[in-house]
Amino acid sequence: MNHRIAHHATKLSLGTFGFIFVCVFSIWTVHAEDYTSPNFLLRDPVITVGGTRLSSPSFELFTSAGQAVSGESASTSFIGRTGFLYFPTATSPVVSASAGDSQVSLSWTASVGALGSTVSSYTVGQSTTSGGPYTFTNVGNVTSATKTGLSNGTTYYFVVQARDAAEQSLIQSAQVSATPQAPAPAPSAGGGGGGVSSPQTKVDFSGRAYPGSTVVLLKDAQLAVKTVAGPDAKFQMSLSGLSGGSYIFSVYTEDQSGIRSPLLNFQITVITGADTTVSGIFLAPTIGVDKSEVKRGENIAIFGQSIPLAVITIVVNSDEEFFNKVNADGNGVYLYNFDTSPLAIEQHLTKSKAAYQGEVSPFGQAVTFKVGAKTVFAEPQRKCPSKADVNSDCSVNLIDYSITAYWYKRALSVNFATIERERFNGDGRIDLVDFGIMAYYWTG
Amino acid sequence: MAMAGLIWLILASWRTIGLDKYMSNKFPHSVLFLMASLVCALMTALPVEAAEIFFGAHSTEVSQEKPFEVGVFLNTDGQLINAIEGKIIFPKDELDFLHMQDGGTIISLWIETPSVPQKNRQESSEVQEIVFSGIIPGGYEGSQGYLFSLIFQAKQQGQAVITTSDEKLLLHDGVGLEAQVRRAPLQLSIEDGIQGKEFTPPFDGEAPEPFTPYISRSEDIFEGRWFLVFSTHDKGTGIDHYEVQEKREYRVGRIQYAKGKWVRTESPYVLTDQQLKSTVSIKAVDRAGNERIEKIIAAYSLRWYENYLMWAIIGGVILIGGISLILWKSLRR
Repeated sequence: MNHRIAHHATKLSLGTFGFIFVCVFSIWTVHAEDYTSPNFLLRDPVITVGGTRLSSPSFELFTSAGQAVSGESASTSFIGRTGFLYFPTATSPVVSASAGDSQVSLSWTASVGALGSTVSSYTVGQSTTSGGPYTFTNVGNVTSATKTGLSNGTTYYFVVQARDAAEQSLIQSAQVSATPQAPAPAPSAGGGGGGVSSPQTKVDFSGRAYPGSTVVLLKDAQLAVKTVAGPDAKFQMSLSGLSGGSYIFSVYTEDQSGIRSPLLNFQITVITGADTTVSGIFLAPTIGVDKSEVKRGENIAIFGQSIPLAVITIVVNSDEEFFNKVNADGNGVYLYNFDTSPLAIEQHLTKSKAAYQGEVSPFGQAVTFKVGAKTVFAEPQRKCPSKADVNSDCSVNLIDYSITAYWYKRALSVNFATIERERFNGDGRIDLVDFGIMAYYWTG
Repeated sequence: MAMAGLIWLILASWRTIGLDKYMSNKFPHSVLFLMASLVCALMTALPVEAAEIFFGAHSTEVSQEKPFEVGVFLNTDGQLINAIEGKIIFPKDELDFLHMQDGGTIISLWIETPSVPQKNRQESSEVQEIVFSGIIPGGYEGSQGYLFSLIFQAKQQGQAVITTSDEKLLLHDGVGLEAQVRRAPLQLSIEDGIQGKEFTPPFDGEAPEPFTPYISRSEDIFEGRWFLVFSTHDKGTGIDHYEVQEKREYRVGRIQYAKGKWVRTESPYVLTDQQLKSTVSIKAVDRAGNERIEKIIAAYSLRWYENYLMWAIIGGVILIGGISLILWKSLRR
């Protein structure tokens, strides 16, 4: 049994929490662990039987049937998710906005539902005040929309909400802004001197990585720009001199141990002469484990880095999935000691995602460990890509691609056969699968 | 799908295992057939996660007189895909393939740019194929990912089906597992006098994207010789070709001389100047003829005795001096 407290877009006020506390303590039956976020502390919440949902414009309170302990159980006909960790969620869309003449074109990455939720539609919130309140319009299950009839010279602020089939908001994106502009007047014939400079085509990126980490932006898989995130993990960068058209941008970073985050890709249509803003980039946490094999019943340390004070959800995949939650410290570092008692003696994998101020990152890369009869400490994680780095320069880029492409559908030399065995799938040839592996480990 | 297979297996072994006698005692044959059909239809119609490569055209009715465009798109059906390959198949007698364009493609790097393989051109087969393969580092998820466009000219009236074969879409999972693929052919009706939309090349006044070429060397290819790699995109009409120029620059004071010719080539390109004393220029040309040139400055400078310009000047000076001396001597006489 549990209470589920979900604050979707708006922050909970003290009054709201007062109300929640009253709700919680008035049906006091069993103590549970304290539940906190940067905004509130919920002490000794009650685990009880029942199911209801209360809501106001600023909060939602769920109660549902569950078990007396945190965890998850499943059968062929139901999944019961219990504890204060579990309520439907989805990854935050990365939103881009391009201003035009009296209009703004918006596009966003698809939000991926988790814990049983499925994204069914999106609503676009619009406001002329930063932070809202927003006027929401349902745009259906699409990843782009154009807002027309806007006033040139006025800055508009937009957010995108991913919603489930019941029209409940699962997640809201970071705010993005754009200022529509009238087109520059065409230079008149004759005359001379002066001239009108054509506006620059530019894209501004902002989001969160890890404190002080180097953030790399790839444009169509090629290195475009690097920057360093601030102590709060926020970063900003700009790219100009672009043509109008469709681009695939990718962002990744490295944590303080030099471990790379996975690439976060998003497709953006850049409009010639317009300034496009991309907000809400939220890179997944890195992850590592201290043991490659752990004796059943002993703890395994799962650690990594994200943004400071983020709430990290760690999933351990087994026949049944185990969800655990831990807060990152002021440097974004997290550590969770997972008790392997409930795990079967076999190979398992774990991955993590982060949530901060209503935004949710995608899951990062998974790492594997074995539960067995002995404990073997893991070697330090490789800072260089473990696969596809053909020329061993710690990058997977156009040079590795070109060397590999040379051997595409050819008989391999003795030397390259060794490389193929060590750094690709080891089937003795270079084909699409090897390029798929390369695309996964790509660093640009 | 596994369930559907199981049901088909049961139906196939209907008589062998005696189910027909048992069931016919319980239900009439017509009811049994209806039940089996319904179950099979339900099973096969169950939603299965499958990506597809599909086509887009302005109309399925095309004119015999005008060239027309068929777009090729990727729907990943919610999956993250990072590598793709396949063939586009079309009837040779009905359609003439003019060219392709890929401006704005989601493919970051083409392993095989969409083209008709040489062997297929010579074959007497009724169909022609266009092969393609490429990768998207980091993966792509979406329902309308633009891959490329094919420009056709219809040859004769009738029906023409453009479809795919040997498709492979790989999941972005680090091991290259294949995604399930669903086919979505395009059926065209070719008629005379249809007022369809004629293909006109898009206006493209912009040069290809800026890019960074690299010079590298590996014992694994080209016998360890230095080679050049490069790649860029053009958001308008797409890249048509690349040219490379290696140019040794001779300089004495303010006098400068350089020579080197442009060679049409592809990446990777084995450098002629393995001493890396030439400035290397790479020209990317789009299908509208716009050019972008990037340069790599020579890694090493010429030694003094390799500077032909200096020798030419010295020779010139000696020659002029000699001639002057001869003239001076003859004038003195």
